[in-house]
Amino acid sequence: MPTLQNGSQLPLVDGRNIRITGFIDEGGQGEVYRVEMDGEPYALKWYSKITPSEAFYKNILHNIHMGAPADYFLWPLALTDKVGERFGYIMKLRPANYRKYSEFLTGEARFASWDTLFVAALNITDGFMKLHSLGYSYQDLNEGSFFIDPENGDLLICDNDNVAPFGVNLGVKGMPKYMAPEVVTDRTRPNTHSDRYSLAVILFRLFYIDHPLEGRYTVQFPLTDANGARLFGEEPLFVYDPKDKSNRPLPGAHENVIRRWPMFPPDLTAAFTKAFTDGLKNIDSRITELQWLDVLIRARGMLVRLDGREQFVNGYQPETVPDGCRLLRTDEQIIAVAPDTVLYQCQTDCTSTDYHTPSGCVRASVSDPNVYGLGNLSDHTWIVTLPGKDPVRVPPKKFAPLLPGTIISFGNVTGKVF
Amino acid sequence: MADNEIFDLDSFDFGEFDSLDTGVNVRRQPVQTPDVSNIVTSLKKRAMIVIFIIDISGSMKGARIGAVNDAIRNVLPELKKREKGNTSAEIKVAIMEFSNNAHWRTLMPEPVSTFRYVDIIDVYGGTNYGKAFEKLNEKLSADQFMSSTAGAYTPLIVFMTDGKPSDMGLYRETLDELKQNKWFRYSTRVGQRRLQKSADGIHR
Repeated sequence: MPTLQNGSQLPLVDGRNIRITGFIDEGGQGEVYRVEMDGEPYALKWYSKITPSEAFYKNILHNIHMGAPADYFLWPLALTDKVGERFGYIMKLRPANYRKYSEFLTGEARFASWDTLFVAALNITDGFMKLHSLGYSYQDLNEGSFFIDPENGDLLICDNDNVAPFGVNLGVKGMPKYMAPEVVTDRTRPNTHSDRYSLAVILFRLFYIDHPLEGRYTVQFPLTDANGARLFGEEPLFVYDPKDKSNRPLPGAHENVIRRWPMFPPDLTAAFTKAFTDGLKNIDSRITELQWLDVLIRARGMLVRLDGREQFVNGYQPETVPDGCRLLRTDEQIIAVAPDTVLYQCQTDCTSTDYHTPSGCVRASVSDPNVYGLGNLSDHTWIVTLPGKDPVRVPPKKFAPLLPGTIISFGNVTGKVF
Repeated sequence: MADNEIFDLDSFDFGEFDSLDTGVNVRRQPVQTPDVSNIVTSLKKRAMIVIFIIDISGSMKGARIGAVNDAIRNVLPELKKREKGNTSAEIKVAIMEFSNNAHWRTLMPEPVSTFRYVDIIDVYGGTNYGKAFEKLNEKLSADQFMSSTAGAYTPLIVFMTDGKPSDMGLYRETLDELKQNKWFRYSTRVGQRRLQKSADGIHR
């Protein structure tokens, strides 16, 4: 039962007023309403079920003044005055095209393409990189924290009310199975390091659906508090730990990860293996957001579209590269290309992590579809050297041939075609 | 975005390059990547079994069984709501009735998402706790109610009765046996009764 009346008004701490215009949802802490502020529709999170501390209230006010770290965050925009002990904060409304992260795990929502899944993963990583770079941590990453547009991977990060500066925790511990082992065992309160563990779980499940620590060993035990603390805190064991096979995924129970583990490119599996072996307990081995961006960009570079179908290519095993696909080996990446492959700034500029802006595009020749060219979509001229020929200039909107042995200098990145 | 620029590129041709050399030298094809739109996504959740053990002895007639029926009808949508959108637990319901004898209304725990509750109407007989504990013990095992490929949470056992056990003196033995059952020991137990002088030691 909504505790606020439709049409009622609430004063904000900045002197403005909001008007309740509808009830949206309720959760463990309270309710979400549709409200009107300055004539525009917004959402109000109203703490009707818990009474947060004064420090929590002041922290939200602080975060409002700081402003959102990136557009992804459904950040608190304004705070209401207290009504008795109750209060709430204003945020933007979530558009209907965004689906809950958990719906992608249950199969209720599906990405438009594998490429879209990568964009979503990159966006999540980028969001936390920006938050952490400001010296803040999120502290409660879990399957309820994200909304994703399945068509393009656009992201919204919600529940930003526990975001706090380095060294500060407002009482939250986190959600079971998403908490870092050191938080489960109460050795520390959530912080940036535990965020990075939770981020690895979030990314893992985005790709593999199942949980990285749930395998044939853990399923034997009823999930009591004591067993939970042991399996997810004291003695966590990754399902694909290379040195200990005892918790491998169980056929029938963990089919998603069994099917998908060999499917994605090796960079991804290597990163998750590190995150959930060395990185399980050693915070120095946790994968940073910048490292994740690098991994995700490399892995996405091994996804091509052939005959209208997406195909992951293992560029480290050139003998398995399918017909119609070429490899472009740059200083730091191996990029699989086929007609209509788009290269992004992050692949042709070593100082860039921009995975949105195209810098090149592969086309098949109009007269002979077996001949590929790489169109220059950047704003500067490439230098292209065909085998045994003199270098030529390929200005923007012109094509470089993708013949084996061709060397393309994109600027600070050089690539060779195989 | 650069859609227009990509479109412009289409007007170019590469006739000047040697079209015979495709540069592809394939020895074996990779495993086909399944399409994202039809790869099977089947998240198997740990089972969370909620067991209602309901006294249907004669004394439950009228308002008492009415209150039980009402309580279960109220709790089911709450369980459904908690299950929806949660990726960890599949909530399943099992119901046992007992009076002189005990029997399961559900042969196996049924998913709460599709479970349909039928009101208990007929009440008769005594209040034989021993029979209920015996039947519960039978089913609290990994090859019975607790079987679940993806593991289980600890069960929640709700015991609803209004009276003294009529097998006073006998039920304690079966209760002791039940207490040896690890699932029972792990379980969260809730007892509801209208009279205070019975069922000692059944719930925490």
